[in-house]
Amino acid sequence: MTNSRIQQAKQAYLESKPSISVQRAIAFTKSHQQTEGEPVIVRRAKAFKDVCAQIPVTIFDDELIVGAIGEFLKSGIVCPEYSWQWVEAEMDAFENRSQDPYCIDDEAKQILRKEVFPYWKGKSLEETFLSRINDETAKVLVDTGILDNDSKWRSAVGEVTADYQDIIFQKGFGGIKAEALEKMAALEPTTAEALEKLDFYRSAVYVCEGIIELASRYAKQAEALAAAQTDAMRKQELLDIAAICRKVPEHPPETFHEAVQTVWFTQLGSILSENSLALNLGRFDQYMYPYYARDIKAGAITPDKAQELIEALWLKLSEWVWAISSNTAKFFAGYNSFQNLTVGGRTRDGRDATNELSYMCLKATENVKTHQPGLSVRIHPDSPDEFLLAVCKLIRVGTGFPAVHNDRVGSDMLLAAGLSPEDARDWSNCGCVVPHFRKVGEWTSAVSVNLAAAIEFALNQGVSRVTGEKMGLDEKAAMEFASYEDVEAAYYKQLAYLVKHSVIGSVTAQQIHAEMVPRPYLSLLVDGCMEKGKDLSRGGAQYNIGPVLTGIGVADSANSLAVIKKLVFEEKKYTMADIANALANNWVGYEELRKAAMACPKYGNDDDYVDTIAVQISEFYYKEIKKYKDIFGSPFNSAFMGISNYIPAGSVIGATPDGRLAKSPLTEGVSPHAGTDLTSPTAAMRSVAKINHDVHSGGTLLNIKFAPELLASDRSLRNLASIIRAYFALGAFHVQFNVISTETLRKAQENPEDYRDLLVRVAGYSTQFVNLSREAQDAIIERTTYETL
Amino acid sequence: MRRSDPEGTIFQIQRWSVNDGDGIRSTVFFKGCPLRCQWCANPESWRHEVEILFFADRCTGCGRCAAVCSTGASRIADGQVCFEREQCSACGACTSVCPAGAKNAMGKAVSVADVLKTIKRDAVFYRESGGGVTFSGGEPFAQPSFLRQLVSACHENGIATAVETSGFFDLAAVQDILEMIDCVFVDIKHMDEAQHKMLTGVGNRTILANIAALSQWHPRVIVRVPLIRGINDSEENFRTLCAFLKAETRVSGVELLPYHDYGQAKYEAVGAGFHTFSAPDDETIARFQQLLESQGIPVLDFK
Repeated sequence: MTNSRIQQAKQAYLESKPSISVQRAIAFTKSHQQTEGEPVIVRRAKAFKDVCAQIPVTIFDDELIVGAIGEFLKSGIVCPEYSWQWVEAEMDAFENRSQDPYCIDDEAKQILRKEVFPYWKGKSLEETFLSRINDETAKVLVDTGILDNDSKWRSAVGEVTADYQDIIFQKGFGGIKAEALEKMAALEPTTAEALEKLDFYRSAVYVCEGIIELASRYAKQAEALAAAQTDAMRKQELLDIAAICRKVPEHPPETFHEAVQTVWFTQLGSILSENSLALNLGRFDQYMYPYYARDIKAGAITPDKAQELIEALWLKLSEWVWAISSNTAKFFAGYNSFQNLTVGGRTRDGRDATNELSYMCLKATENVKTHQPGLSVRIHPDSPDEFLLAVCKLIRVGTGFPAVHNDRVGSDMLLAAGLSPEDARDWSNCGCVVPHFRKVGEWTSAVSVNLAAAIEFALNQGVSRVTGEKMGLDEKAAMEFASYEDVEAAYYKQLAYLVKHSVIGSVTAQQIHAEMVPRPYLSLLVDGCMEKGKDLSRGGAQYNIGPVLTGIGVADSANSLAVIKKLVFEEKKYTMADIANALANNWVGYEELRKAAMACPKYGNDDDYVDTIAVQISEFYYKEIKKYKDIFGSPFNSAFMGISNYIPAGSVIGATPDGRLAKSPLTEGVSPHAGTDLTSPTAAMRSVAKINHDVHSGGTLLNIKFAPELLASDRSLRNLASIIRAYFALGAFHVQFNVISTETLRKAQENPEDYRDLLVRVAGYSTQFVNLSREAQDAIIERTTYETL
Repeated sequence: MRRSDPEGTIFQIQRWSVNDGDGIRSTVFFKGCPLRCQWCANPESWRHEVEILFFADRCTGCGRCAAVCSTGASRIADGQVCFEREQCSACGACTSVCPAGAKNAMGKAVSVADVLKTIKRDAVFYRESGGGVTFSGGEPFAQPSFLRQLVSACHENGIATAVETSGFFDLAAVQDILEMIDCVFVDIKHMDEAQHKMLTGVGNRTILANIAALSQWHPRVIVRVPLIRGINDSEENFRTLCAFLKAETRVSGVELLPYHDYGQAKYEAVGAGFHTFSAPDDETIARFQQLLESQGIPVLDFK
């Protein structure tokens, strides 16, 4: 059970409403008005520094870890430099929208409309992207749900894992600044390259000064509060906080408390710098352990105190609300900011890395039940059984955490992407299920590719059944297919077309990112940039891995092709015309055909008939993607991971041959389609493991829902641990479990007030169920439960 | 497979069985049973032959079954579908045309190779969990040569086995099979011979004698007792049971299985009469548990 301080903080957290703070936008904009003409990276660095100097400094009651995103307990910020149009268009409706509403007061809206947005008109990333992207690509990429990469031009990309091990804890921002000054002094500004480097190092100095100043403002605030504090204990705490904020993150931390505060300041800097998703915490149990061990040994901290600090950090990570457009919110539902934190796994030299903190992180999530951080674990054959059982116990709690990953496959994915064996072993998760490494620059979720659209276009001459518009290739009509091979070839041709335009969209976005939105702060957190004097957006990281194209609907595609293969070309009971007509009519008048279609083999039942098709699709997708390279010359990567993207992706697709009705959800990651994996969880896992997970370097995702009754006994927990080990022995990468009864979910829909902390795994992440839209809630309820098996 | 590959009749292979022994298992349900327990949850397991289940409540009366029926078992009378089980040859034609799922073929003749193919699929799950395959039914020992081949094949493949049996078999004839099986679940439904015969159709002497003999040498024999209110939940029955287990057997323990009525819909579908039963209350169950434990007989559960 968690202590009363954390309990109170959690209560306050649950009771507060997400609100938009405009202070960051104001300071950032004013700064830019004063730096016209300077190099863009320097302007952004100065603006960051001004933000650090000007945003409100807020220490909430009883806090131990300090630093607030805005003046509200749950604050979202807007970053007009990326996109302001959607804010202007949508902010009057913020409070009432169905997915992820925010509070924003009239005065704030006034300021945005008068002082902020006018400056950015014509200058934002969004406007630039839309003016650069070619018409043909735009037709299928912009706000269509067929291809989606708006998180790469309506917002910043994030997808960075701060390197505490080798950078921040070693040098502190004071040390980083000194290094930048040293590099500057050694440069002669006689070449274009040297000039560019000078700008980089100059920017580095500004951002270091900014984050140090922010910390010192917190020190002052803590001192001021201490002076006014009558409670002697709290007074001392505030004085301690002040001392810590005077020291970190300027200097390396020396205690566990200082290290936690360093992590949060570093994270806060990342958030303020670009408000992006997937600012990951990396291998927290590994880099924090030396501080924990030292403090425990010296008697400077108790395990309970350390636990409290970890839980305080969990709450801080959850305070930040990622402010996004209603369209983006459909894809990334639940105020989720994808700050992933990974525990367990192996050390760089291959030993089991599990330590006390690994367990304490599991416990923290169980205690505070916040949706952040996204807790991931790495399991390998030598992971202690106790650890895996602790993981299973947390799964049983039903928070949807942790996401369980196959340690070795994560390493294999990164080896395939070009990392050294030691670095590949040192991986941690990015966002939801992307194996990542802290010295890597990568767009881990560059484009969502709707695989079911390729089915629709192949059977409908490139025309969307929902909009009636031609978005794919105009090829031959469905009735002209003479063999199953014809159908398959048509599908692949349409899919290749979608991949091509995803690449165009990504490369275009990468170009303008390098031009317009360099990342002076985040570049300091990733090794390679300082050495090369080069920004992350220009390939500064030690490793650059190509953007990830996330396929949605592999199950739907495979099931659809299997129906055509079986009913039309093998059993010859129906014709292509029957199928085409049924789809055009959303199965109305074709109920018998729909029944036959639904009775065909479905991916997720260990039936090779259809599983083979799923494997073929995944292989084709991977190989097609690998043909392309990004602006740094790195090959693109494939993934089948979910965000909540399978719901909006389904809403733009008409009926599909597998029996799916028009506009209903597709399938997340490599999971079987909801309600079709009726054989057993083992069969579902075997189907999924047939896909070659190791080649999809962007990650693969399986979501399995269990009713809690199924995990009630200790014996059943051991069985859960066993299926995880068996699934990983089969070579699969990731599995997550929703352990919630359908009945509980229905109750939560009816009485959201009583279920404010009910967490569900949406797909790749967990969020409060009551924060999801009705459609998203229904989709979750519909997922197969193995309740009665 | 070998030409001598025997065929057997089963009605289901259930993967992810987690209550039929240790770990994660696949359970193979044999069709056919010499007993007719009135509370049986799987009446479709009684007859050895393949049969057609007819769920009248799902029937829409479309008449497609009657159109394809070659024996006249399915026919239309007064605008309603009738099903004359006695005339049915279980050809299965009606099941493939029924749009409502009202007609289901129950049971399938399969070879050892067929069964192995399915059960081997989850081998990795058995290994990781200490699970394996459970042969259930129906009565597995009613198809001894088929069972022998299956158990022996599992043995060769390193797959652990368990059997769920009524205990009503000729022990000498199946001793070699039992020697290969890792865990035996055997029912004791009632200690009174006459009652047992009335409730199940057979007496209990063979069963009790088999349990006594088998448990002397088999390392893992677990007795299962279905608990049915008013049928076998008397203090006397339980005291007799405890005395028998203690004096004459060396069983590993007892698992108590309170009655459930999940099988109700299937009674009508196979054309059998359904008897209403219920489980004893929790106190009674707890009392039996204490009684067993006080006699030094472990109470096990596989929940």
